[in-house]
Amino acid sequence: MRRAAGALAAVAGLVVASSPAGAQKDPLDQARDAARLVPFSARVSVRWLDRGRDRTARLAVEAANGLVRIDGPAPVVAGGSERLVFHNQGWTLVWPGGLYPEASPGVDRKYEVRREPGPLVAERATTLVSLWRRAGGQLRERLAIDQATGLALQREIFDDRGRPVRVVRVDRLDLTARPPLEHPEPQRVQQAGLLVRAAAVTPPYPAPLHLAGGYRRVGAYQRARLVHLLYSDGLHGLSLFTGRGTLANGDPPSGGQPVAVGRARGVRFTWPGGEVVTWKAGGAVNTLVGDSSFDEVLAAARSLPAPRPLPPLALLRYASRRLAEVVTGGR
Amino acid sequence: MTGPAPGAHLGDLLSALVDHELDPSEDAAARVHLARCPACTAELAATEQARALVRGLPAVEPPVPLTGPVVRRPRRAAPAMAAAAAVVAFVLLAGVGEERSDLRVGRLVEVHATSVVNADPVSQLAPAAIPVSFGR
Repeated sequence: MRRAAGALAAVAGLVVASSPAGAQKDPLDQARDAARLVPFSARVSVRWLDRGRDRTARLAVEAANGLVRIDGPAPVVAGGSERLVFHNQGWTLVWPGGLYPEASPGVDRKYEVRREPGPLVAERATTLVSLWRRAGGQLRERLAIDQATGLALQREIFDDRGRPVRVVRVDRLDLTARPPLEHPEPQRVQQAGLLVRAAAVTPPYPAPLHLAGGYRRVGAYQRARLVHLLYSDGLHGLSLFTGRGTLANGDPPSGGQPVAVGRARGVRFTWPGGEVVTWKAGGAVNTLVGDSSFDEVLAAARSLPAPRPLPPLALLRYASRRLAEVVTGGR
Repeated sequence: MTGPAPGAHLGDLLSALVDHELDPSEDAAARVHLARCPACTAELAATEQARALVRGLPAVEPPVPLTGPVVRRPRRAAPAMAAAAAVVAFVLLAGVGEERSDLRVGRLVEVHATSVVNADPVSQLAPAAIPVSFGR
């Protein structure tokens, strides 16, 4: 027991020592480093509001040797930047290793960070880190950080009216020594996950450097006709996916709520980690996925510049190529 | 599943991958390799960028002295050209050219949840372990 406590103290020291001397480390950076360095197992609950309904899911989490495995209906493994999800009896590589976005803007640019003694979470003492949006002074997120290890034991996201819309909470934490986790071998790569950095996203895709709400572009990836732009406000992420044509069969799924995005009609969905708005504009389908609240995701969608129409020559070329694909069956 | 030999790069398979000429098992193996090999990823990016540049080049009218002796300019639009133009116009107007992409909202959500790699992995990824039900 004493040995375990000593090891824990050493790990906590590592986490703290990795921050610049004298600087208050970004709470999410601190939590990320702790999850990478501290072996643990936990029971985690996720609560979110979906069309006014309170929903809950419970998951098992294990972390060891730099890997984090989350066991739920669709198990996920994270190691470095590599992300694998278990689909249909096999692991799918959804995000490849070594593909890191640019540095995010500092969290204190948009948010005021306040620290105070926090509640007991999973019977552990925490520090409560509150993030208040400077413009408007609204509480947008609250993190309960384990004082001994730096792990985030509770994360609450609030909407613009101060209501909690999502809570991820560790209900039980076990820090006893763990055997190494197995690094799964993927059987396939998700089509949308086969991404390469785009040196420059080519027109007619919109690729603004900034979106409303202080979001800055930190990554641009392109494969064939799908463009993925990743934005960050220092705390939350936003992904803008743009592809020409229409959504795949059956999409958008039912269960969405209509929203106006400029002059376009869009559909809003809630997922356990945030919000989605999808709409069609200028011959392309835009899908914005965010992990903040709906008001921020919608504001960002509305700030996207209107698509520029294709010049006649490009339109003709596009139509000809499509015609050829239709005639040849895409061969 | 066939793919590049262990330690080898994709080489010619890369071009075949871009042209969708690989069979499904080769395609899957190549994609797994690609996702973990920065060298092949960079080569793929360069290949796709080069193709995009070529596609984006404006049409160039050959100089008259060159075309003069080789190509006899038709005095009026050939019926075949007119028919082709009509088909393209039909495609544009009727929307036959609308392609169905592989944009499935559930998959895009998954990509987003896993692409924010600089966040706390537990609170960021836990929602990704729950299949998206979209209010159902």
